[in-house]
Amino acid sequence: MLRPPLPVGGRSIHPNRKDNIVVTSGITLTNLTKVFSAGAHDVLALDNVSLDVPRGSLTALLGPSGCGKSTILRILADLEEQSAGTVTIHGESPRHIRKDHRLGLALQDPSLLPWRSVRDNIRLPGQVMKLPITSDRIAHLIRLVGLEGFEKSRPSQLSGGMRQRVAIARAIVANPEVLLLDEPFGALDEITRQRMNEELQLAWSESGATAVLVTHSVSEAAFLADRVVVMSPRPGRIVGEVAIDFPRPRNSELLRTPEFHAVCDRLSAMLHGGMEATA
Amino acid sequence: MRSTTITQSVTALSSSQIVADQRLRSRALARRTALNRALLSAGIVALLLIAWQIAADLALTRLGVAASPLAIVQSLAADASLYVNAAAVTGWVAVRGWFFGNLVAVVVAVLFVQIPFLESLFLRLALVLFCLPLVAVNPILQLTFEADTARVVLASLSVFFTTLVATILGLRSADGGPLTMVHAWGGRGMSGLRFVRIPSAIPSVMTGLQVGAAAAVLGAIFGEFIGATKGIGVLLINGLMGLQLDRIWSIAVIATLMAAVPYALFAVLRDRLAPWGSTISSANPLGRKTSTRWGRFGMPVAWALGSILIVIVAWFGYLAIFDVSPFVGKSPADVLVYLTTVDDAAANREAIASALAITLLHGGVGYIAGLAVGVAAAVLFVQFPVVERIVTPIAVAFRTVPIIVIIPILILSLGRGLGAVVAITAIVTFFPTLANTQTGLARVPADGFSVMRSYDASRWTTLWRLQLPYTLPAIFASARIAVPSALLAATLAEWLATGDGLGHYIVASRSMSDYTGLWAGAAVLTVVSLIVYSVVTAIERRVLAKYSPTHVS
Repeated sequence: MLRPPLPVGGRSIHPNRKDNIVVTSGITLTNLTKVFSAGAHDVLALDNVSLDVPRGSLTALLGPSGCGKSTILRILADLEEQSAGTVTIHGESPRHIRKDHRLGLALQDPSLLPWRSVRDNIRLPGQVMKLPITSDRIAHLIRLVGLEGFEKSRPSQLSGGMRQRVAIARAIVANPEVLLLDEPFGALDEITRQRMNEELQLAWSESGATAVLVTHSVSEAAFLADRVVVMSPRPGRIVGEVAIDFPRPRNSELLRTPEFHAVCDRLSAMLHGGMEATA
Repeated sequence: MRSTTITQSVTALSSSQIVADQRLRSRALARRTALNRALLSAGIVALLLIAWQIAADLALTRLGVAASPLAIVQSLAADASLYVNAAAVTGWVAVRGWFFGNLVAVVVAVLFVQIPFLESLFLRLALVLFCLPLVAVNPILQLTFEADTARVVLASLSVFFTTLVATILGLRSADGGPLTMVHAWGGRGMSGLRFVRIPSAIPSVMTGLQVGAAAAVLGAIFGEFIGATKGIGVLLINGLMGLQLDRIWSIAVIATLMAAVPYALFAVLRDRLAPWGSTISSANPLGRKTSTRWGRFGMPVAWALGSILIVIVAWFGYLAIFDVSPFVGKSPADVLVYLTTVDDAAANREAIASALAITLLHGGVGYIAGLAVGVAAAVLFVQFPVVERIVTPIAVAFRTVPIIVIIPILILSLGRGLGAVVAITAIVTFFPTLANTQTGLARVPADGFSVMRSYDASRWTTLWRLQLPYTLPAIFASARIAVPSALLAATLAEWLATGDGLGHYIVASRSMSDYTGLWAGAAVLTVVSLIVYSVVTAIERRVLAKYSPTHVS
C-alpha cells in the first residue's frame, strides 16, 4: 500500500535539498491542537490530532466543513501556528521547510497575478525563491497541464478550470518536496473536476512530492489518494483512515468499478458515523 | 442579455457560416452603438452650447449672470498672452505640488503597508491632514514659508490624502491569495512588495495621480489668493472684484483644461500600464475597527479627542520645527488665552462662535442637499437608463472642474448671499455622491433581482428592499469623504464673497494682522471638521455593521 519515495533522477535537483541525507520520515503530526479565539468564546478547531503521512505518498484529508482539515493544511504551510502539539515535515519544522523553499501550495482560489501571463505566473515561484527555472521546464509543465497555446494569455482570458491548471503547474514548478492542496478544484463542476484530478495525479507523480490534499468529496479522495484520513467536525478529530491501493495511473474507468464504489461506501459510512457521533 | 439569446438561437441552427455572419453583424452593431452614443453626447453638448449662447445673448449677460461661449472664446483670444502667462505661473506651482504630494503619499503608503506598526501610529495623522481645512492652512503656510514654497506645500497637501488612500488600498488589493503564495514559497516582505503589491497598486496609483491633478490646480490657485501678483488666482480675484463675466468664465475654462488634460493622460496611461484594470476610490473605509459595545459608542468620541490631541501636538511641533517667529506663530496656549483670559476674550469667543454658526449653516444646508440630490439622481438614472446615458459623461467631465473656479461663477450669477454658498457646497457634495451611489447600485447582484421578480415585486419595492440597502455603504462612504470638501467649499466662498463665516474671519484676521485671531479661527475650523467627520464616520459604521458586515470585521 505504501509507495516508496520516487527516484528523483532526470529532474533538475533542488539545491537546498538534502538528497544525500536519507530521511525516511514523512509528515508527522503529534497531539496537534488548535484553538481560535473568536471574541468571547474560543473555538476548538483541532482536538489532539495525531497523524503520519509517509514520505512520497498522497494523503487525502476528507471531512465536512469545520472539521479542521484546512487548518491542518495551513499549519503545514506555516500560515497558522498550532496551539499545542508538534509537527514535523521530513524531519523539519514547517517554517524551516517554507523558508527553505521546499513547499508547493495550491488553494481553492487559483491566486494568479492578473498582470502576468500564464508563463510568467508559472515562472513566479522561481523568481521569489531566486532559483533558476529553465524555459524548458515551464514549457514542459504547460504541456503537462494541457495549456499549450495559452502561454501568453492573461488569467482573465482563461476559464476557471484553466486557471486552476496554471495554479497546479505553478505549485510544482520549483520541485517542492511537499505539495499542499486545499480543494484546488472545489469551485469547478464535477466533470471538469474529474479531468483535472487525472492531470493532478500525473503532475504529482512526476514531482515525487509528499502530498496532502484537503477535500470534501468522497470520490475525489478515493480517486487520488494512497490513503484517506476521515475527519469529523466540532471539534476537529480523526475518525478513521482507509488505505486505497488501486494501481496507478488511475483513470476515469476506475470510477465505474465495484471496488471503487465499495471504497466510497466505506468512506461515506465513516464520514456519516463520525458526524452522528458528534451530533 | 439580447446578444446571448441571439447566440443561443444561432447555435441551434449550428451553421458556422451563420455564426460568423452573426458575429460580424453584432460587432458592427456594437461599433455603431458606441459611435451613436458618442454622437449623442456630442450633439447634446452642442445643443447645450447653442442654448447657452442664445440665453446669454438674450438676457444672461445683460443681467450679469453668465458669459456666452462666443464671448469666452473672444476673451481667450484677445488676452491670450495674459492667460498663458498666468497659467504657466500657476501650472508650475501645481506641477511641483502634485509631484511632491504624490511622491510622499506613495512612499508613505508603501511604508504603512509593509510596516503595519507605522500605519497604526500615523494613519490617524494622515486622516487629520485630510480633515485639515485648506482655508485654515493657506494663511498659516504663508506666515511660515516664503510665498512660492507655501503655495507648493498647499498644492501638495491637497493632493496627498487621496493618493495615500488609493495607494494603500491598491497595495493591499492582491493581499489574499497571491501574497499567501509568496509567503508559502518562503518569500520575504520585499518579494511580496515587488511581485505582488507594487504591480497590483499601479491602477489605483494612476487613479490617485488623475484625481490629484484637479486638486493640485485648486491648491495652486488658492495659494495665489494671498499676496500673489501673478497667476490664475490673481486674475480670478481681480475678475471677481471687477465683475468681469468673460474673464471669470475664461479662467474657469483654463483651470478645467489644466486639470482635465492630465486627468485624461493618466487615464490613458493607466489603461496602458494596467490593462487588467481595477479602480479604487478613497471611499473605502480604512483603519482598525472595534466591535465591542463600548467601542461602538465611545469610538467616535475617542477618535475625535485623539485627533484633536494630534492636532495640538502637531501644532506645537510645527511652530518649533519651522521656527515660526512668535509674532506671527501663535501656539495653542496663546489661542487659549485669546479665547479665555484677555480683556476681549468674550468678544473674541462671540465673534468666532457666530462665524462658526454661519459656516455650519452654509456648509450643512448644501451638504445635505447635495447628498439628497446625488442619491435621488442616481436612483433616477437606474430607473431611466436613457437619462443616465446622456448625463453621466457630462457628470464625469464636470468632476475635473476645480471647485475654486466654480465659486466666482456662482457668486456672479446667484449673488453673494446664502444661495450661492449653498449651491457651491451642494455641487461639491453632489458629484461624488452621484458617482458612488451609481457604483453601489451597479453592485447589486443580478440574482437579487430574479428573486424580487419571482415575488412579482414592484419597481419601488425592489428599490426599497433590495437596491437601496445594498447601496447604503456606498452612500455613507461618500457622505464621509464629502465632509472636508463641503467645509472647504463653504469657507472658500466665505473667503471670496460673502463677508461672513469662519472663512471670512480667517482672512479678515490676517488682513488686520490679528495673528492670534487667525490661528484661533483656523484651530476652530479644524476641530469642527474633525468632529463632523468623526460623527459621520460613526453613523457610517453603524450602517455598515448592519448592511455590510464584511466591511467592518
